[in-house]
Amino acid sequence: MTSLSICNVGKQYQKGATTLENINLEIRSGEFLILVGPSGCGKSTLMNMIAGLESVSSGQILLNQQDITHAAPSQRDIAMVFQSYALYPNMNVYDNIAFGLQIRKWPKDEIDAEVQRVAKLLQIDHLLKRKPAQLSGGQQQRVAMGRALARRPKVYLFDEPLSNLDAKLRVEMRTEVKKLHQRLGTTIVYVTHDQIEAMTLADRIAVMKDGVIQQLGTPQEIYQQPNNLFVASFIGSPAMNFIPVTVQHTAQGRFVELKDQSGTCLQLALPAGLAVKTDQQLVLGLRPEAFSEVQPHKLSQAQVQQGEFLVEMTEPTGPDTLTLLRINGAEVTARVAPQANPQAGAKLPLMLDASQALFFDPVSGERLRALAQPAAA
Amino acid sequence: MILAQTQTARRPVRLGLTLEHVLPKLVLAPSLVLALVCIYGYMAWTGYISLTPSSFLPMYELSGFEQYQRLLENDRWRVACFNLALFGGLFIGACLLVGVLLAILLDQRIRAEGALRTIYLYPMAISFIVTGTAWKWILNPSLGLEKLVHDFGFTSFEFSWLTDPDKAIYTLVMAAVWQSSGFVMAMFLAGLRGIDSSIIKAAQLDGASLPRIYWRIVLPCLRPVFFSAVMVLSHIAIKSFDLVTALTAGGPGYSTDLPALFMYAHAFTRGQMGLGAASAMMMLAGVLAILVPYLYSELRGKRHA
Amino acid sequence: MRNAALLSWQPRLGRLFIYATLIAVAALYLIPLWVVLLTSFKTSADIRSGNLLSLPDVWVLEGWIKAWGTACTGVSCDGIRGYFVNSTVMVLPAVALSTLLGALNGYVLSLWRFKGSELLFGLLLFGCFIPFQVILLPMAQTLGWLGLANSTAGLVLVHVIYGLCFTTLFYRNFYQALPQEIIKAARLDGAGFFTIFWRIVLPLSGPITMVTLIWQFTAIWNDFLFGVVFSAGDNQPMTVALNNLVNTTAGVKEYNVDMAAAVLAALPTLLVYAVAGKYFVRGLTAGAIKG
Repeated sequence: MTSLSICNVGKQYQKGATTLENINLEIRSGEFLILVGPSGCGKSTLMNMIAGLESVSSGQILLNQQDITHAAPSQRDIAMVFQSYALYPNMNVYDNIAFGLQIRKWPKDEIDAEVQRVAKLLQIDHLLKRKPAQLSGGQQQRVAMGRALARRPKVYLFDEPLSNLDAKLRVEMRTEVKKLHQRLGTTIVYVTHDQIEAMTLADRIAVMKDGVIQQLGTPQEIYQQPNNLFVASFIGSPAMNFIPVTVQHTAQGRFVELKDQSGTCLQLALPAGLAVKTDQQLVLGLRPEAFSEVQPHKLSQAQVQQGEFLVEMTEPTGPDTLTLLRINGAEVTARVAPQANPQAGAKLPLMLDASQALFFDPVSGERLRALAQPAAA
Repeated sequence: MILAQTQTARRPVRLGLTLEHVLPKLVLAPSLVLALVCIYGYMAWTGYISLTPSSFLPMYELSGFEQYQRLLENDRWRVACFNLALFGGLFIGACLLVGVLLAILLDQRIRAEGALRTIYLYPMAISFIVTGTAWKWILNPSLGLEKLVHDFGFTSFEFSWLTDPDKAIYTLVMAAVWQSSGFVMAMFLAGLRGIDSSIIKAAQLDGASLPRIYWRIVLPCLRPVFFSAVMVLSHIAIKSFDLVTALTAGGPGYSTDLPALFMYAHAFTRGQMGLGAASAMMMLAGVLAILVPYLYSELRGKRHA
Repeated sequence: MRNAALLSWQPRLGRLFIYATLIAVAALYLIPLWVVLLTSFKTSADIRSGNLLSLPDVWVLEGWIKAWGTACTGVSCDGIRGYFVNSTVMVLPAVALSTLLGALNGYVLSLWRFKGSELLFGLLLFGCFIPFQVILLPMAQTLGWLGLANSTAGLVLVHVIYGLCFTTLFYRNFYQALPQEIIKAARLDGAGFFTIFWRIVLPLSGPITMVTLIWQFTAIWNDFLFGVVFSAGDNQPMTVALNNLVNTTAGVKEYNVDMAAAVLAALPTLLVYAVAGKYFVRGLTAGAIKG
């Protein structure tokens, strides 16, 4: 199949503002790559440049080792699904799907067969005679995907394809997109600002901000080892808790303290090899699930401890109750089983599992990593 | 580093994009160039002629602002400018008044709204020449309105504005308002329909009376429509040529002369091309004096929004 | 309508007053047309004995026949028949050409924007506002050089050039509202500049094409300034001929002939208005509000 390489690609506008800087991405054949980031981070610009709809200021784009940096969109054999679907309003569903094939001068019977195949695949074969205005949002979405599929292009681009759908439909279509990818094994570049979409669909995720790729990795890597505060806060819902801490030192080693308003104080040993000094300010990153109701069988594990915390507020979500605490002055969300029955204003015994704790430099925002050779310094 | 990047960016090999980039410009070029030359080129050309002593034929040696001086000293030109101010002011004012009132009345869930709208607007589809011809007949001093009123029994009624040098200008206003006020109505009606109804609901909950709601909330919301209407109407007034030609032909004497008529007469029938060109440039200046502040405020408003 | 529902004056008397005012004004707007029609069907004697609103003693077509076939317009006395044809021959190609070019220009200026295209559009837009007096002299000169002076072809050219400003404005604003993504999708589908125009953009342009055609037809049919300046004798358009007919001083004034000729001159645009008034209004307000 097809691989797509983006080498040192940059985009500058005339007014001197740089939108994208030295983007490097290697998209493997059959891979589902998601570009995710807040609006204005340059992800759509990057996608348009891959499609050939915006010019590239510097760098190269290779499709199967072939330079397509300055090729016209029609010469690239890339299909795109747009956020607004961009269906041709004057054509019925059949013609919408067939248009690209007609332009490419496919024989009529082949076009017909292809449209039928795609329509069956997406279960829109009963809608072929309708105009886009007569379709529901979900149906339009399917037609837009059908139009892309019909051409059997080398690469599919999805530009926030689900964000115009209502919440329920969005989840359904998300599953369909994933199934489709698993079945067809196509190469897909997918842009979204929805981190859940990114987590559920992607083989790999590229998190972007201000025209720079902050991190590229599998969803698990991005979730568990975010490179910096931005990635850590962007991925995950509810967001990761950031607690300001100060490095302290005793004979046992270095640790940080977590203090609750009610007087509870837990001590968290720093991982070995973390290049920090005593009294240095750090940001401790803990996912909400690091705090949970006390599960006695886990208490024996390393890095697990318990304490009583004052509950400020609760937000039941069903499977668990998000419980707001205040630690070292920062608001902290804990993911607690509803059975624990957290009550606002009451104290609640909680268990803290610090095995996934992350430490960030408060100034640069970078995650501090343990050195390969601990304690050598 | 940055230098190196921009150099790679400017590499000439862009074969795939070339046609797609050039074709739109190629399509646009002929008609656009033609239009722009015929607007700006000709404007400059007229400007140049206005600086020459051209009479029956264009001459191309400059004579400075002599024509403009002649123009400003020309009594007929002064009358034309005064007439334009009088006619324009009355015409714009009356059109706005009639148009706004009709629009507000029509916005009251009127049964035959469509039919009434059609009636108010049909004069706009007619040529000013036809309007002038019709009104010239209606206002005919002996057989027109005067006779009609006489036949109703008011035998002392006199109505000869068309032949009265002091009153003829008002006949122009009447005919022009008849023709254009429906258009103002249409603009304001469209504006009224575009106002967010929740604003009015809020005002009603605040206990405001209906006329008050219109005066304090609805009409201020229509400020942009008001300005566009003034723009369009003043534009009609300045360009006004057909109506005067058909209704009064500038007469009696030159009591209803307007700049557009003055320009035509001097440039094309009296062999005073230079003077005609100068008067055309003055008309352009007049339009610019209205247009530029308008566009400026429009663009500024957009930038702030 | 939404506002109206909220703002209706409740008391009966108020509504009566509103209807009375609206109907009275409507009558005022209709009376001139009624007077013109009545007069055109009267005999000259009838006109002198009756008044503006009196019905004809006998309804006669005398005025109409004379206006069409034998009335004097300046020098010649062949009625307005020939000038009606002139206007028709002028208006059809001028409307078609200016509309087509406007559509293409609008397509480029909104969907294929390039560096400087907004400026070009702004420059063109300004053409909608200039008093045409400022281009009359050079245009007359140019038409002379091209051998098009006093010809219908010359008039067509002038109307196309200065109509472009309006037609481009209409189409550009209409296309501006089309989602840019449709064009992107078509480009990825492999469609080129003209394919996208013919297959996608033009089929979506129905309403704005109606608006533009009607606007141009009305403007060009009703034009007097270009007609009187750039044509002469047998090539003059209808409006100029009507003005000549009315102002011909030879002989006794025949108001029935004048009025019949005026109705004939107004007929084509009135018909268009009656058939497609919706688009006419839309053109007026679009041209005014956006322009």
